[in-house]
Amino acid sequence: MESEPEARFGRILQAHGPSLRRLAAAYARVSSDADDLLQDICFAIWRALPRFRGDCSERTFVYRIGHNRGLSFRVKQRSLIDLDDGLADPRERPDDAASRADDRDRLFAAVRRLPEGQRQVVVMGLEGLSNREIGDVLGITENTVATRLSRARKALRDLLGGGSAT
Amino acid sequence: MTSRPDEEWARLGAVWRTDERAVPVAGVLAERVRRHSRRLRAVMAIEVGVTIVALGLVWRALPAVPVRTAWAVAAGLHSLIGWAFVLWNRRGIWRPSAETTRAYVALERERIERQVRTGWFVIGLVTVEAALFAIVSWRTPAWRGSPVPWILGVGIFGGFALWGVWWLVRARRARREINALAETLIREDNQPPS
Repeated sequence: MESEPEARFGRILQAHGPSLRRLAAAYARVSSDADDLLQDICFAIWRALPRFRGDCSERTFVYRIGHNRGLSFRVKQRSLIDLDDGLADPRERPDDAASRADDRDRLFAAVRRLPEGQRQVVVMGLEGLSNREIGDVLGITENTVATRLSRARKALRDLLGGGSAT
Repeated sequence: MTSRPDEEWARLGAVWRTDERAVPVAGVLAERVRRHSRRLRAVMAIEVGVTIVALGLVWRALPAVPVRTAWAVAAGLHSLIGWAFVLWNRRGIWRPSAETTRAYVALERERIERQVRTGWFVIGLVTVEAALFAIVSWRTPAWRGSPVPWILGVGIFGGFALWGVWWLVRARRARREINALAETLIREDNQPPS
């Protein structure tokens, strides 16, 4: 029979699992690394869950852990300096009509090329978090979030070659 | 740009969220916990094994009871210094995985500084102990001409020294990376508006 913590953990992963998977893909350029990071995030959530007393929203709690593990992953992988994604240039478009998967891959590749702070706000912005929620996750003011987001959106536009990924 | 920025942003958000794959809860957790437990068991087995082998070698090499007593005192003192350092070095540090990113980065920097300090401590302690060991070996008539003290010295102290250097190199590399990360975050926020 499933214990209460396990049930709670399962509910959290059900609600935020896809977002966490996308978050991991924004930090790790190789798919297997993203899977490892995702596991690491899930494990960190599992360990932190008993101490979660609801002093922030569940979404904030999950994103804090996700981004913190993501940063630790970047430090460990020494990938901070080498920001080359190793994937196709996000501006390149296939000759035929771009499929949704192509669009998504280009968008992820462009997001991974953003500087750390910008990448964080973009990932949460694309997930639909408000500036206030993003500020709660990162420990910065709404104004700083707005400034970072504005720069990040411009950088993203440049990386995507002046057009959107769609 | 032909579309309005908000529409463009909403479209990017829709593209971003097309990957809706769920996380396999049971498999992820079970495998991670199993791996973690295996690692802990392996580390403990190695530590116990190394300790037993080292103590056995020391015991075999030492001929007289008073010398054994002296070595027991030395080993106790070594443990005391080691534990005192570990406890002092860990004060105020915990695993704040659910802190804000800003607080997390600050604590991560502090944690890595402590790791660097640990590396220097191990190297310093091993150097002092190796020097003391050399003096004791030199002044113990029964050991003169015997290869055992040198095998012990090179094996044990050399092993610890290598471990200390490896630890220090790793910690210093992590320090460079975390400092670069923290500086990147600060620089991004201090950039003048474009």
